[in-house]
Amino acid sequence: MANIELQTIVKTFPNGTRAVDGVDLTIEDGEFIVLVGPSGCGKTTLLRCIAGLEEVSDGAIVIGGRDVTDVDAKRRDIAMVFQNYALYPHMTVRKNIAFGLKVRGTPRAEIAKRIAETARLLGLEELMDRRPLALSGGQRQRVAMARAIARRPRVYLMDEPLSNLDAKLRVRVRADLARLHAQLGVTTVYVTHDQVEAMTLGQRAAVMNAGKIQQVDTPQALYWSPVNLFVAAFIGSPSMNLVEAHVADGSLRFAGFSLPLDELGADAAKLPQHVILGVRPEHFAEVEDGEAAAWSIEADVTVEENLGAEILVFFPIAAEPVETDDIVSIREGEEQEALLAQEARALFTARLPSGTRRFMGKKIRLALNPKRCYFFDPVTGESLVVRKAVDEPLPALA
Amino acid sequence: MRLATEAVLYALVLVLAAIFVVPLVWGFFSSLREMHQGVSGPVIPKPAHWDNYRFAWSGQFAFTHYLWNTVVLTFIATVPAVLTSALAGYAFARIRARGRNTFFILMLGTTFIPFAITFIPFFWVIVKLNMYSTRWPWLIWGISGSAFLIFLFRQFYASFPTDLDDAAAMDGCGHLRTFLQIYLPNSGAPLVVAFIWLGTGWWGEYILAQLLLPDQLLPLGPKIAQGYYSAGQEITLVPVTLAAALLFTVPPVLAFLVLQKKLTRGIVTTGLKG
Repeated sequence: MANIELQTIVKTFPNGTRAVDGVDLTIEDGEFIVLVGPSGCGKTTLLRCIAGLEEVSDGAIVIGGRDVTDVDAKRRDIAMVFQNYALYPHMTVRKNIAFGLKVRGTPRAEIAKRIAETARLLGLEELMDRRPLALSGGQRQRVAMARAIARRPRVYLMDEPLSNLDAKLRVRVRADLARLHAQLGVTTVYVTHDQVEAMTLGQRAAVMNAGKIQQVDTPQALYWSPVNLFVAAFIGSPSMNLVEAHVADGSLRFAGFSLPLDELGADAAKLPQHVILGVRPEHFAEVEDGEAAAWSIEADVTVEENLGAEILVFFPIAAEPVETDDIVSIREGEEQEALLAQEARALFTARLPSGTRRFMGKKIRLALNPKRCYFFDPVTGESLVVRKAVDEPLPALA
Repeated sequence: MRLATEAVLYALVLVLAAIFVVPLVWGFFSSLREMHQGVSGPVIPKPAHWDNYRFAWSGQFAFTHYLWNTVVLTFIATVPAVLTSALAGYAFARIRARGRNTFFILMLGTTFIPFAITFIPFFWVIVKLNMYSTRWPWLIWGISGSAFLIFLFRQFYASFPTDLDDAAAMDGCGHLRTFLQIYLPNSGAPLVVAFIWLGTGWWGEYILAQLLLPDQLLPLGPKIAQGYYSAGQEITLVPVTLAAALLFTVPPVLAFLVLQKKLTRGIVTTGLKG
């Protein structure tokens, strides 16, 4: 096992693309860290740099106190699990697992012992003489893990290993991965674009955008205390509701609503004239008729999604969607998947307790907790107020 | 309308097939004529003289000796060529190097140089290296590979998932081991195409053997082309010569029949199909 130090890593491709832009990161011995970010943010390139599959343009990589910046991949004592598993199609499961050990000259008896141990650990005993083509996606994934584990390297690198599994299997394998790490305790760097994986797997997660690390912290801290607009918008599902607001006459105004600033307490003084207001969907609460709420807004519900334990209600507000560079970079990937053209108005989401009530097509009143609202600088995107993690469990993620 | 189009297409295919098959059929029936008869008379001879095949095999010269020569020459010119071409194709597809594409285009350009231009300088080199009347030139051709096959393998390897290279690198492989242990075992289809294409070419090769080799090293092609003669006469025994020629074509035809499925798959996977 070993710690990993990334010292101002820069990776520029021959076509001039700067995929990794001065990343500094220390990963502790035995830690499970997740690199998360939207497609094209540089997370996989950074992982490949650690693996030695890409040469870094600048900076240094130190693993276990040894500078490996110019060391070949095969001499770094790292194992990697690939997105498409990369199993050798002409070899049986047994041979796939044994191959790396054979290449490294491990004695036969030792190879046999490790294969048996790994097969037992991952429940592969019945599949040892099959070829990858005869395996299901989940089985291939386990073989890819076994190949990495059997090597007993100092570091595991995982490049979106769950992305080819169906949703149900992904949840199971995610839990297995967490258990496996607890059992083996090997330093692991895990790349994903799925923030749910980042939140559930990593002891810490590094959120990346445009080749830079935006924030490194525990998943809870990333969720509750994002340092900037990008992290706030990226972490959380459904994502944080964002709207441009301005401060005038002791009120926070946006989309035709006016909320008294004194409810914010000392934080009110930190707000410039223009801000971006952020509200997590679970920080809305329905206001019953006759109930008073200092910060509340009207919502015309256009869509509702009843998830059983909770209900998501969607409502447009009279304001344009926030379109900073950071937000655009997150949405770029999502919009390709969208069925309909994006609305000109911002669409807010509220997460409410589920019941028999229907919200669709109704006008409701929603309260906001000022102490749970986030404020960001519209130019720099930096967070303007500090929000500490609240003492409550994380909301369930989709 | 669609039926009519299909009928025309089938008719066209049948005509094309006939162009290739008729000479073979005619050759087969002619090989069964009486050995001194020549090729005149009805198409299907009666009786059929199967003895011609026995005579072709053991009558005038040691058929098996020259068959073995053919096997040796085909082997030393084909096997190394396929392997070095596959290796070069891997390098062009996978190793990032300055000028890689320029070299690839230059290499492909060599396929457009007519053999007639290079043969005399090559002959001169062979003589200067004391390789005239030996099999060494075949081995040199073999080791040099084939521009067309390099192109074929490069196309095939370019479609290989790069994750396999990365996995091999993480497992401790360098380029050569990655090629030998990961790429080559997964190259069945293009290997079959390459072996059949190059092997049949060398099997039937005539000019180089005729010009460079002494009689005892000649392959069957030129030997049969010299013709079979009856004892003491200068008249070619055409039916026997045709019988020998048909015997000579049996190994490549068998290879084709055995490997037909892989060959078709290879033509598809290497992008050779239009």
